[in-house]
Amino acid sequence: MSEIKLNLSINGKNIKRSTKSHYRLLDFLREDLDLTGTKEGCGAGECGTCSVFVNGKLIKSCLMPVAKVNGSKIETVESLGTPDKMSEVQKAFCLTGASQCGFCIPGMVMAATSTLRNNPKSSLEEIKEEMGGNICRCTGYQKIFEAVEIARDVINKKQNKNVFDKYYKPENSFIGANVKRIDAPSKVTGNLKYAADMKMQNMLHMQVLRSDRPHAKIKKIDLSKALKLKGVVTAVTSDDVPGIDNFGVFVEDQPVLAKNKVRYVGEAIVAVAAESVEIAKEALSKIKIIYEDLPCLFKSEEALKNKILIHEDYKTNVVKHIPIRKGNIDEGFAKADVIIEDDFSTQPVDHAYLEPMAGISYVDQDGVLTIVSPSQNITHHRHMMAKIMNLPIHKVRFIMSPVGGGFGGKEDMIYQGMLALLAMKTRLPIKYVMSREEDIVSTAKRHPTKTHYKMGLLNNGKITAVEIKTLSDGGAYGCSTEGVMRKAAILGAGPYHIENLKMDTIGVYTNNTPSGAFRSFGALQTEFATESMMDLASEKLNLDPFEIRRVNAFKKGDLTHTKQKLNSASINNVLDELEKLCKWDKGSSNHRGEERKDLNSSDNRESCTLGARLETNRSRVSK
Amino acid sequence: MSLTKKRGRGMAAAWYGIARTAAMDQAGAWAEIDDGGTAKIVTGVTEIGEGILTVLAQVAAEELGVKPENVMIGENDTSRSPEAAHAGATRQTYMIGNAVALACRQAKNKLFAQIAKEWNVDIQTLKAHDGEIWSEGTNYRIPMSEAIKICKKKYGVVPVGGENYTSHHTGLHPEDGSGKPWQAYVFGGQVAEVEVDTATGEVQLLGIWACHDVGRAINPKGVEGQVEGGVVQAVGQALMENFELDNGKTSSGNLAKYILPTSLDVPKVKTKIVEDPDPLSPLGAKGIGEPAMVPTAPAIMNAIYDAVGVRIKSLPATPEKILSALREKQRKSLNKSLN
Amino acid sequence: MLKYDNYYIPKTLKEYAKMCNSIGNYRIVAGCTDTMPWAREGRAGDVYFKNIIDVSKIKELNYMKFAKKNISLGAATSFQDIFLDKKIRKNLKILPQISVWFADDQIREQATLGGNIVNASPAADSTPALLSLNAKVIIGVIKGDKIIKKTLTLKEFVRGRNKVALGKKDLVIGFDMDNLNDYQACFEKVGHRRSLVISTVCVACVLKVKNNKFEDIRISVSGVCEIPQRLLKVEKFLIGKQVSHKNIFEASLLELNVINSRTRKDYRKQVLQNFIVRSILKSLEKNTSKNLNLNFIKDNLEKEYLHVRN
Repeated sequence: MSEIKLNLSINGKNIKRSTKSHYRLLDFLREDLDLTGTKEGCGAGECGTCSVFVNGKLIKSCLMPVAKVNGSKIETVESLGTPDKMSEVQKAFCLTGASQCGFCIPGMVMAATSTLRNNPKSSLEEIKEEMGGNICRCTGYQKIFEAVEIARDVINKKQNKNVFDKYYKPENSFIGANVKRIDAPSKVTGNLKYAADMKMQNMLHMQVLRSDRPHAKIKKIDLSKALKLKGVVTAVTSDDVPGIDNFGVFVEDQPVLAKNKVRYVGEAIVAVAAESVEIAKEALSKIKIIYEDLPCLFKSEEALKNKILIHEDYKTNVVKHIPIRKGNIDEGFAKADVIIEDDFSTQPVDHAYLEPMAGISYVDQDGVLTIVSPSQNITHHRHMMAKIMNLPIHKVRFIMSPVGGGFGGKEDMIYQGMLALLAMKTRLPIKYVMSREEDIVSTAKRHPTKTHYKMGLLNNGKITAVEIKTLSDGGAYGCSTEGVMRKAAILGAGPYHIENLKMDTIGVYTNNTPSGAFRSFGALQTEFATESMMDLASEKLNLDPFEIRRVNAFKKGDLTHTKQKLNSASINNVLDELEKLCKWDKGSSNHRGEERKDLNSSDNRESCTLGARLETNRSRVSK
Repeated sequence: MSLTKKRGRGMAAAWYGIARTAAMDQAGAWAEIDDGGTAKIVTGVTEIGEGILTVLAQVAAEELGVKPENVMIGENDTSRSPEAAHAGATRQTYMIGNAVALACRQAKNKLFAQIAKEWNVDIQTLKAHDGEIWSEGTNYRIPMSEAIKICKKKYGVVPVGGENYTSHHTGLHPEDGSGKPWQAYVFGGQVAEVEVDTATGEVQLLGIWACHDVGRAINPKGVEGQVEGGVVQAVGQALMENFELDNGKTSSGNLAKYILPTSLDVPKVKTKIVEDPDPLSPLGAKGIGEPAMVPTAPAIMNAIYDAVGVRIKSLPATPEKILSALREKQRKSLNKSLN
Repeated sequence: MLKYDNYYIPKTLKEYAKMCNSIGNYRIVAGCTDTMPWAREGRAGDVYFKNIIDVSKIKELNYMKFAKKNISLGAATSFQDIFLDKKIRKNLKILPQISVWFADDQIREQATLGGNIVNASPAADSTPALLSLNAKVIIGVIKGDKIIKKTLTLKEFVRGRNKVALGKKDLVIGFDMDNLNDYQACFEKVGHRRSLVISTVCVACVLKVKNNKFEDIRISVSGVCEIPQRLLKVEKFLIGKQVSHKNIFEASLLELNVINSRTRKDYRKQVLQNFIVRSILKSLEKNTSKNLNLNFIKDNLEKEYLHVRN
């Protein structure tokens, strides 16, 4: 591997050393200098977790070859402050609670710093524009904007800096107090180590060969050329699994590495351990897989016909069907003054947590297999791993590293098994960091759904009967499909007292990317249909949308859709407060649009026209 | 067809269950009042961004009478900490918050028993808050750091507690689905205000008003953060995100093609917290993580209908879908006027 | 992953010529903001070049010259300079407008005007703006150790999707364009979000009005066809004509057949028409002349629209 000699200034220090010539500035900072406050979220300039200053200009270090900045002055987040000596921007981020998972935050702090350096008087619109290259998946940006505005005002002496020390606390209690997040200082300074930021002695790097076929038999895996490559230590396939080879959050049907066949594009087949990421990647290109393509199933309706089976052992493609039956819908519809019937659908969605999957595995001095990863469920992962590795449960240890966003996506144990196999085989620490592309292609998504909906109502808005059927594409493996179907069914008909209900949620296998756990877990999809139906009913019956919901809302003592007696139900209170909060202009949902009297209040943000900085005429003189 | 931008509003309600669904849920925690009047909490929790460490520090501080900044929370390690199960299902504050509260009460009782002996007062008169311990109706009042010294040095007791919180849920009947999937429910509602560009079909979400029952807000700013973040994830789902597959292969395989909301795409969110405490658990808190994003997408679709009279029933409501629906609508109304 | 053994940064054209004559297997880069994402999974995958030649520091590619009629920008001019430079803002109003829509502030610091044009993406943002400015491309043709300058129109230069009239060793030195300080300009773009956005349709319009007539108007589009284009029929129709809702509306319909995208044709067609109309209106709004009754024109345009049967 060829090297390049560098001579540059990093955070005020002169650095003279050699590095790999193809390294990006990001690699040099993280791998050679251990400046891990600069993160890699996408590697393609689309997220901003790697923002650093080069000669005073903020750039994305994943797009910057290190050779290009030879001789330059670099500033990373580590130069801005430390937990005990934070900058105004960092203090403001702590004050407003602008960091959640924290993975975007070093980049976000850099972008905020750059914005205020370029123009200490930036308006809110200018701040939003200038920070438009940094994605945050947790906070919704609002607390970040608030923080930058506070920092700006303190810098401009429009606000006293003691604002940073204050927080609201009710008399004699810490419950209900806005205690500042205790994890914030480590996040705004880039100090917190996520799994990808960790290193161990003699550590090897894992890379994974993945299927490019949606459904195919694996006839042969030829590793010979890959294993001969200098620096490659070993490789594992499904044959290396010592125990019972399956995992899954609800249905345990997924092998650590594809067993005999692949069921989706992106499924892992071979895991290689090598001395460097580059060598491991090169080894992948030398592995030969001979496939025999199988007929594929991409549509959930087709899956119901069971003509093609994704999992032969199951004899059906239905992962789970949850029925809810209450009262008698025929009688309910017969009583109705109006019946509304419609169809709804939702798309698969990626979790897009900014921290791609990553982990480290090792076998400790007592022979305990240890996995460090941002897993959302180490309790369950430990159970499954013991079974897969055929180890007593106390010989398996999971450590949950800080999670750079999960949203349900990190409940699946899709890479820890491979890490375990390689650590046991080599007895060396193994590190794995997914690229963004690999993460998107291989991890589970939110279930796409198709819902058919029928609702009967009286003229006064009272629902007499509801019939809902939701079909969900669970993709190639069971993951959380069973649980998602359950939650979708229990909650789907909404917070309404319905005497006659028939609801069915069905999740099926296909050759699509697996669907799994995702924040709001099925309820988002089915309640979307219900709330759209309520709006249709509001228009049809000429009733205000709040009113029609009040007519039906659960009250204390009502039976839920699963016939559970509610010992409290705050929905009416919530609706009253919401109506007041937004100063709702009463009327039915009949496309009132601009006639409404409640539009354009100052609670809204400005409509974004772009070019705030063009209008205020902020400019610079080029070199 | 038109060139103008039109505004409208829509609303939606929602409900959600707290903690593991239709199955028993449990979480364990250990607590110790440590030297210097600090506290050590060990439980199966790692921050995933929801703010749980801060919530637990507040709960421990409240229950033990120490300062939140003096609470240390141990790492989540299956070999070193008690099981608190998964970080999901809107169960962290409810399950682990209550487990920590119960463990702290045990530890505190051990300390109080020694201090009651020391002062020769009824244990019922003892109170502790913000780093101090005192006996109501007397002049006894010392810092927690003193109290722990007395407890250990004089009476040989390390005040520790270990407890468990259980949420009693039952499975669903296989035929009619009846059962008690959760013991705590939350309710919420949101109003969306949109601006639809009728020249492009593009929707800008300008405002969200969100009202959510969380039981009891341990940290109101943290609740707001969950609502704002949940809303924006739902904005992505409602308007732009789509993991597209063609014959099993994705065309959205990177963050240039998989479209996430940026700082220029998000609404201003106004949050109002409603507190209807859970009667069954020690803290009364319920949860907010998942429920926050349930009403957003339908509120946006309802607002689009209000603004321009087209109803999008298939997510996401891309500019293309909206423009094509607008054209369809115009075609129909033209035909009507001609007939 | 982009892998290479050597990364060369020539400082002069002469050095560059020498370099590309003496080393084999090289790839030219400038800002690197397209090359780095290109060499990743799902696109080109892992790519190896023995050598990379970075042309962004060549001094002959770094210039801005402002003359009364003509403005020249070096190929290595960054989009952030185009966005923020005072003189560009004054004289080439359309360029800062396209820049603010281009990626984000940080990518704009690296990305170069030359790089964007050379990539010849059908969705390129800068090409329509340069078309409207009648930009000419100055190319350096390497013959032995000599560099011969050649000038092409943008139309001659961009040959197709990702295709330009550039020999292997040649490079773009810069662009000459009209100084349009007395014109008004408007750039319209739509994608799926408002930052880091890839355009589905964009329209660049520059115009000049005198005595309520279009003295000059230049409209260019991208995102809707293989190569960004000028809408010459629309322009020809409007030049010399009264600024009126009827003329604008009629003009907007003239060249919608320019669309030859592979997907979302219908959508693009509607948006294109709307953007033509709206970019003209918005440019007119910036006109200081009080004689125009823009509200009257707008209201009547809305009425025109109501009668369209698609």
